[in-house]
Amino acid sequence: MRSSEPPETAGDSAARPLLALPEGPLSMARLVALEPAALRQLLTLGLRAGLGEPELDACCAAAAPPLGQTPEQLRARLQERGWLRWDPERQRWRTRLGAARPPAPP
Amino acid sequence: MTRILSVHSFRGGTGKSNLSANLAAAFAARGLRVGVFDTDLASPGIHVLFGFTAGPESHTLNDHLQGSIPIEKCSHDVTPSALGGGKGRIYLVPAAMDGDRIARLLREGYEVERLNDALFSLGQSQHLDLLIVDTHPGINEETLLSTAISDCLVMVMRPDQQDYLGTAVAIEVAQRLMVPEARLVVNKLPPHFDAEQVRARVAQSYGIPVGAILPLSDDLLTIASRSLALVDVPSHPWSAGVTQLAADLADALL
Repeated sequence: MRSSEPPETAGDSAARPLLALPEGPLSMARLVALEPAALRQLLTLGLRAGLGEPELDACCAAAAPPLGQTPEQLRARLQERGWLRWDPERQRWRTRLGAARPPAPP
Repeated sequence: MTRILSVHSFRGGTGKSNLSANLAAAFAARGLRVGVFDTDLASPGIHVLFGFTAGPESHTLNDHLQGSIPIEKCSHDVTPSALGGGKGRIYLVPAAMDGDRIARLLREGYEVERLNDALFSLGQSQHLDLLIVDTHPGINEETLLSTAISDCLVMVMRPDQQDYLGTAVAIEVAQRLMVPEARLVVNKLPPHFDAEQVRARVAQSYGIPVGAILPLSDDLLTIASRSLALVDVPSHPWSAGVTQLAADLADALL
């Protein structure tokens, strides 16, 4: 599913339109404008020290419902866009700016 | 882990670089290892306050962002001799000062990602307690990044209407980026202003703590652009205000 398509699950979104995850590389200007707040928080934490697996799981769980996605789907979308990448040196998930394509898997 | 402190203002001329440099000196006087990044790449200047002059072999932040020089080779120990006896150190990463390099940077740009990596890398390799980022005024990709990765944002403003409005915008952005700590600093307060009234007004307007109200002073005008007030005139009210602010920030961050 692409972000521009209707979501697969409606959840509690009957009263509120679901948010869309934009396409294209991540910039700071784009990050500031992102909704929901939990997604901004995920990507901001990723810019700072990075995220361990439990933190990433928790952040995806908080950010996914307003986007009409499961946490697993959101995580996959962020990786597909190259916004989130595993840093083998720090052993953390880190937010990458300006990345249009995901790197080769480790 | 290195804490990142961004010193930012919406408009130029607020005394941001002066505050950044003197905060670094205040932290070093407390025995801390401090890094200072001059990310005001279009109009660098903080090096002057530390008496640093780039020689032919001196590398700058531009050499890292637009070249392959490791960030560690772009940092220079500028600890003032007056503080040299203690454990505190100041490492400056200056921006290039010559016109050709500035023009090249503005023309070609750089990957903002490299700046992010450089900050964390230097903090780790130099075992820094604190990293102070002296930003370019206003809002752009670099200032948004330095705001986002900050453990604390220090917003500097003068007591004038344009600064009041612009600062509100910058604070709103910082709140969207969930910066954990923020302080407002009103700098260059004219002598006829009531400092406590100004403090109350800005605290109420912005809803974030006021870190310091620093006076405009003729005495400081004679030294402010060429050395550190905290070293030259430590008992001056401006220097005392910065020392107090550093103590508050150290308590909050370390």
